[in-house]
Amino acid sequence: MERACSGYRGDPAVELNRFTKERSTGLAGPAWLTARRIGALDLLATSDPPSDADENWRYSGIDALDFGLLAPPSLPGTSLPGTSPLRATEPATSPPGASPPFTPVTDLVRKFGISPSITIVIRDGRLASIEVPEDGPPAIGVATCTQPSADLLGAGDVPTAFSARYLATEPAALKEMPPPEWPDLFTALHDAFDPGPVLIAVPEGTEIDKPIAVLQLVTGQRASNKNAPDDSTADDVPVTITTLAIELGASSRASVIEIAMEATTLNAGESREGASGTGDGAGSRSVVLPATYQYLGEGATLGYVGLQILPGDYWQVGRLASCVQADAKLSSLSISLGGRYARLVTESMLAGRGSSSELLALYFGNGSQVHDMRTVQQHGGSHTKSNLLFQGAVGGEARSVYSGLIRVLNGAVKSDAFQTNRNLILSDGARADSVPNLDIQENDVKCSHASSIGPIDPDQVYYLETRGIHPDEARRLVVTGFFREIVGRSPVSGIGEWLQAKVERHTGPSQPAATQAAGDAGGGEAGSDAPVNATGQGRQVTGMSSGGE
Amino acid sequence: MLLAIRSLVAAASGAPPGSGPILDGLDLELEEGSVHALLGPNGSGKSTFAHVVMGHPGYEIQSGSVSFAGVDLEGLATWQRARLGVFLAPQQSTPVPGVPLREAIAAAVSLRSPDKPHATSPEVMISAEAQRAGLDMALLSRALNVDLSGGEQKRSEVVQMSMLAPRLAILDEIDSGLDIDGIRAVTRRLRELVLENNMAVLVVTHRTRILEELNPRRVHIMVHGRIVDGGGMDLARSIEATGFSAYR
Repeated sequence: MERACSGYRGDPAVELNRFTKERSTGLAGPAWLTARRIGALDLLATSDPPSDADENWRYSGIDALDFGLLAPPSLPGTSLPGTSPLRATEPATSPPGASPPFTPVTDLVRKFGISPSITIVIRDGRLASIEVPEDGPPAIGVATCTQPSADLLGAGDVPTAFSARYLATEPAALKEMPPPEWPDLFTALHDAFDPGPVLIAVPEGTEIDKPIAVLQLVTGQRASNKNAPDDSTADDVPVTITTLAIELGASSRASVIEIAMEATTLNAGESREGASGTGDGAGSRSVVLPATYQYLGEGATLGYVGLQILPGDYWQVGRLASCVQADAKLSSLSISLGGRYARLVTESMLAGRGSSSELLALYFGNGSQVHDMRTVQQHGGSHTKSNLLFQGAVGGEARSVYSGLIRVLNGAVKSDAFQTNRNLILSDGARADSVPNLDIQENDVKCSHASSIGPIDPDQVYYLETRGIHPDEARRLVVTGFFREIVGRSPVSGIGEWLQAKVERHTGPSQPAATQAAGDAGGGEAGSDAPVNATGQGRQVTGMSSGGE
Repeated sequence: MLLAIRSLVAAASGAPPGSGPILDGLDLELEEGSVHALLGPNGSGKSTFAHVVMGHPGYEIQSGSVSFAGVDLEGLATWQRARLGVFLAPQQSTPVPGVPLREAIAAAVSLRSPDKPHATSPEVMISAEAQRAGLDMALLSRALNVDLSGGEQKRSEVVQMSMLAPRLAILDEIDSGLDIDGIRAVTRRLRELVLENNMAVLVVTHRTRILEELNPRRVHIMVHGRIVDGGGMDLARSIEATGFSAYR
C-alpha cells in the first residue's frame, strides 16, 4: 500500500504507550492466535496514526481523534463493575441441559422484527451467553478459543468436535480472508489486541431457516476502581475490539444478523445512537474496532445484516471482510445509524468460479455524525458477479464519505461488477462525498459504477403537496422511498419494518425549508472516475458533469 | 364564484427584470359545478397558469389576484390550497421513487379529513376508483408515477382526484396519451364527480375530442399569458378547423 506523506505526528509507540507487547501476549488463546497478534504488533510499531491527509482517510475527519487517550481493553477476568445487563452471565455456571435463562435478550432481538433461531451475546468481544429457543438450537457450532461452546448451549445436538478443532487450528474464516486492503494502525491494533474471535460454523449441507442473532454489546466504560490499570486517567477513551467469524460449510445455508450496541441499551430499552443528537462534535467516549469475517464454502448461501446503533459519542473503525468460494452466494446489508464517527471497510473477495455477492448498505447521519464507508469488490474467480448498492442520507451537520474500489484480478474473466452509491442531502449544513475507483486487470469483464449526490427533489415534494400532503410529511415519504429498495432487499426479513420506522423517525419534521425552484430538479447518475461531492446548497453534482451552482 | 382570477400577472421566481411575465393580465372565472376548457397555442402560459393557481414556488404573482371560494390564495402554500379543494393533474406527473401510489393516496386522504371517518375504507375506495379509471390494480402498489406510460399516468391522476374529491380540478392535458377507452372512462368519472360533488373542472387541452365528451359550459382562448377570446363548443370547433392564427 502506498502511504501518503501525512506528516509525522509523533511516535506511535509514545501515543499508544499503553498498548504494550506484554498486554498483547498476555491475552489467552491458541498458538495461531498468538502468532497473529505478534504479527500485528510488528505492524503497529511501524504505523502512524491515520490522518485526513491520507488518501484512504480523505474526508474522514479522523484528525479529531486524540490517539493519546486511547486505553486498551480490560484484560480477561476483570469484569467491569456497574453494568450487568444480562442475568446470570457466567457461562461456566450454566449447567448443561438447563433451560436458558436469558429470555430478555431474545425479546430485545424480537424488537427489531427478528425471530432468531439462536441468540449469541458477545460482550466487549467475549462470548457472554447463548440463548436457544424452546424447540432447541440449530445444528451449528459456536465457539471461542477459550470457552468450549457446548456448555454454553446446554444442548447435545450441537457439533462439539468443531470446538476442539477450532482451538487447535486457525479457521478458514480467518486464514482465508483477504488481508486488509489498507493495513493501518487500526487494523494492527485490532489484530494485536483481539481477545479472540467468536466463531459461528454452519456444517456442510446444513440449512438454517431462521436467522442467527448476534448481539455485540459494548460496555464502553473505562476501567475503573480496583480493576483499573495503574496508568488509567479520567480522560481515557477505552478501545473495544470484537471479532466475529462466520464460516459456512459447502452447500450450507444460513442467515446472521449482528447488532452492535451499547450494553446499557439492554436496560434502557431504547438505543441512543448518534442521530438522537448526542453527536456534539466534541467528546469521544469510546472507540470500537469490530471485525466480521464471512467465509462461504462451495455452493453455500449466506444472508447477513450488520446493524450498528452505537451511541453518538462512539467512534467505530470496522471491517467487514468476505471470502466466497465457487458457486457460493453472499448477500450482505450493513446498516449504519449510530456513532459520532462510524467507518466501515467492506472487503469482498469472490474467490471461486461462479460466486456472487450482493453488498448493500444504508447509512443515515444527523447532528455532527460522520459515516465513512469504504468498499473493495475483488474478483478473483471467473464468472463472478458482485452487485453493490450503498445508499445514505445526511442531515444537520452530518457528513458521509463513500469510497469504492472494483478490482478484477488477472484471470477473472466474465466478471460482472456493479457499484452504485446514492446520497441524499437533507440540510444545508450536511455534506456527502463519493469516490469510485476501478482497477481492472482482465479484458473480458463488465464493470460499471454510478453515484449521485443531491438534495430531496423539490419537484417530488411539490407533487405530493398538490395532493394536500404537508411538505414535512412529503419529505418523509420521499426519504423513506429513497431507502425502500435497500430495505426491500434485506437478506434478513423482518428488520425491514423496524428500519422503515427508524428512517421515518430520523426524517423528523424539523427539516429546513427546501430550496424549491422550478425546473431545478433531478437526481442524475453518471459514471466517471471523478470524485463527486456536494453540500446541501441545492447543488447537484454527478460524476461526469461539473454541475455548478 | 368558485375561482376568480383578476388581472393576474405572474413570472418565474427570481426571473431577471425585463424578461417579461408569463401570465400578463389574465382574467378568468369559474362557477361551482361547471366545466370550462382552456385552449391556446404552445407556450401561451396554460401550464404556468395551472401551477400559479396551485402555488408552485417556482412562480411569483406580480400583480392581480387569485381567489378560491372567496379566499385569496396568494400567501397560501400549495398543500393548503389542495386542502381547500384545489386539485391539479399536471401535464407531467413527477415520479416519486419508492413511494407506492396507495401510500401517497392514504397519506393525502388521512390528512384531508382526519376527523371525518369514511364510510368505506380508503383501501376499498382506491380499488374501486382504479377499476373505474381502468388503472391496472398492480400499479397501486408500485412507486408513484415511476415507469408509467402516458395513459397510465393520466388514469392514476384520475384515481387520485376521485379519492381527494376536490371542489376544483384543473386537468392539464388529461387526454394526452389516453386511448379512446381511457378518454371515455376519464370523462365519465369527471361527469359523475361534477354531478355528485358539484365539482368544477378546468380542462387544459389541445384536442376537441375530450371536449365533445365533456361539453364545457365555456371555452377560453389563451394567447401570450392572457385570455383573448371566449365562447362555447362552437369556438372550440372553429379553433380545431383553423388554428390560433387569428389571435397572433
